[in-house]
Amino acid sequence: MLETIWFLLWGVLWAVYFVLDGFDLGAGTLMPFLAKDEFDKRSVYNAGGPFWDGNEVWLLSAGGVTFAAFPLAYATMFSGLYSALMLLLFALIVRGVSFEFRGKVESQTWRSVWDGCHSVCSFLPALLLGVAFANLFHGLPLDEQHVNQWGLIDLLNPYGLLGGVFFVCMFALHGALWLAIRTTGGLRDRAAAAAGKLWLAVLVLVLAFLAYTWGHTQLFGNYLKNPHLFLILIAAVAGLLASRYFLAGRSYWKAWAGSAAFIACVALFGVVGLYPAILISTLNPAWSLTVSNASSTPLTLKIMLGVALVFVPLVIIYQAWAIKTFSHPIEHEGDLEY
Amino acid sequence: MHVVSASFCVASFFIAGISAWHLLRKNHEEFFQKSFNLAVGVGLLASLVVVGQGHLHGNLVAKVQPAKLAAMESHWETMKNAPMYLLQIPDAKNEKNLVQALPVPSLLSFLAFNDPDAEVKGLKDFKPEDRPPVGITFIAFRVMVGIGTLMPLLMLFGFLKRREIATYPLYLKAMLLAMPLPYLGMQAGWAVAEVGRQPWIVHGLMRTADAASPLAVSQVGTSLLAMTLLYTLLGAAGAYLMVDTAKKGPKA
Repeated sequence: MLETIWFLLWGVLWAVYFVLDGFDLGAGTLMPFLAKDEFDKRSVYNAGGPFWDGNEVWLLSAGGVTFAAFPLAYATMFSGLYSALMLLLFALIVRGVSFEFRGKVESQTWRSVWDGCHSVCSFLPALLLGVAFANLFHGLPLDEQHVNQWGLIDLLNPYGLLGGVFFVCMFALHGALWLAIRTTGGLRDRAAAAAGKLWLAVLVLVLAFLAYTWGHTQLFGNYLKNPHLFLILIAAVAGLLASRYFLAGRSYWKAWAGSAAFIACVALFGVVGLYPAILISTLNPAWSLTVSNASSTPLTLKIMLGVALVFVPLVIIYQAWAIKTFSHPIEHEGDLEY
Repeated sequence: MHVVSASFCVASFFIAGISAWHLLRKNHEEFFQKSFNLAVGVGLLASLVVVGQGHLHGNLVAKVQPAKLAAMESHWETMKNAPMYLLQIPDAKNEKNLVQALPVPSLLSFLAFNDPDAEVKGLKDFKPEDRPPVGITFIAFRVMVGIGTLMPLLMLFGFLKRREIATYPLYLKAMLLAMPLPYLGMQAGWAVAEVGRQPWIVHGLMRTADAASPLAVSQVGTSLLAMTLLYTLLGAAGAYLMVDTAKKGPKA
């Protein structure tokens, strides 16, 4: 029971992380295409600037919960996907620093270098997370000691790459909608237009990804056995459609909310499909890591649950406060803090 | 508490150093006199706490990780009334010290157990595979203690003479040069803690060798190289920014 609760919380943490960091990773990825001048570029930095580290806290929580609630899965995941994770880590470090360092020197060279870092290192995490999760949905060749036999190159198989491209576009759409909320003038119009195009790409990609998932993984098993779980997919579709509808009506906050619901439900769809496995072994199902064989002791899970019930609401409260404080549109020089 | 107070030392020496630089150049004197006063006040307290806490830590280590204490002091023979040698050069291969001169009688026993007659275990009491690397642990410990001794002295002078500190240009230059001291002290301290705990990753329960993941050497080597390069670049960029910002002084 406790393990199942923690499994779901684990899924929720990933879902919330994607919804939050998705928009600043997406905005950063789009910067070279949407920002035409210095003010535009600074607007993009300022759109994500106040939020990026608070958003990444959810990544740390997801990783931390993997460690504390499912330590064996943590060991296999973080050591087994070592190279990919190191790359992800470096990209996130450089991106974070780019927010803080870029504006501090007046030199054009300094700023261009950090701009390059910012966009590449916003694109990479989206790609790597998509590749990683696609591979998790399909399963990895884990041996009897749960050691992953695949390297970085093996992760870039067709299904993995599709997951990667899907995540990139999904986050880019989310980021474009965020830019439409927070920026003004030409940049806002370009962001909204990009969102329209990206929406089509996301529609095609999600259908392709679902089809490939149907054929290539066991994820639909849980859904066929418990058809009421299809509500998650329906909610995802509803979110995506709502997002397009509100985009057309220029209600950007609502469009963003639709995109958020879409991202969250896609993540949850995958996690619920995985249950009870966390890391599937493609070599032998007996070697998979599940909520039963990979979890911590009941005492640990109980204490963690108590702590989570207190602190997660606090985090949500202060994060909502931060979003509210910095949600005003960026109109002129005076609005720029970064 | 030891690490928290050490962090405040880092901050205090940082602020004191920058204030000293500006006071030497007579920029914004009123502003930097205030920041200097704050820095030496906090810094004196922090550097005294860090030493006090360090002593308590040493007591704990003597009790629960005696091999680490022995390595820190390059102490080979178990004995009561163990002296501390002010001049010491370890010779780990031969399980002794090449040089051990200027002994202070019973000081090691006293510092480790608050009792000059206490028995301090020597490294020879532990199997060779259970001993930490002596060279690094010993040197790092002495570097940390040396810095830990210097810091309160520097801060004390600055605190007592703070109102006329502008008339002590040599001291101000010293404080500028002293800015890296707490950083070095921190690094040395962490080296003592981590290297001194070897071969254990969980003391007495799990060896580091048993905890390592089955990763290819090339993977780990590449990530280590990449991490080192990345942080060197970021560190250089950060240092550049810090100097640039410090020079500019407060906004008009």
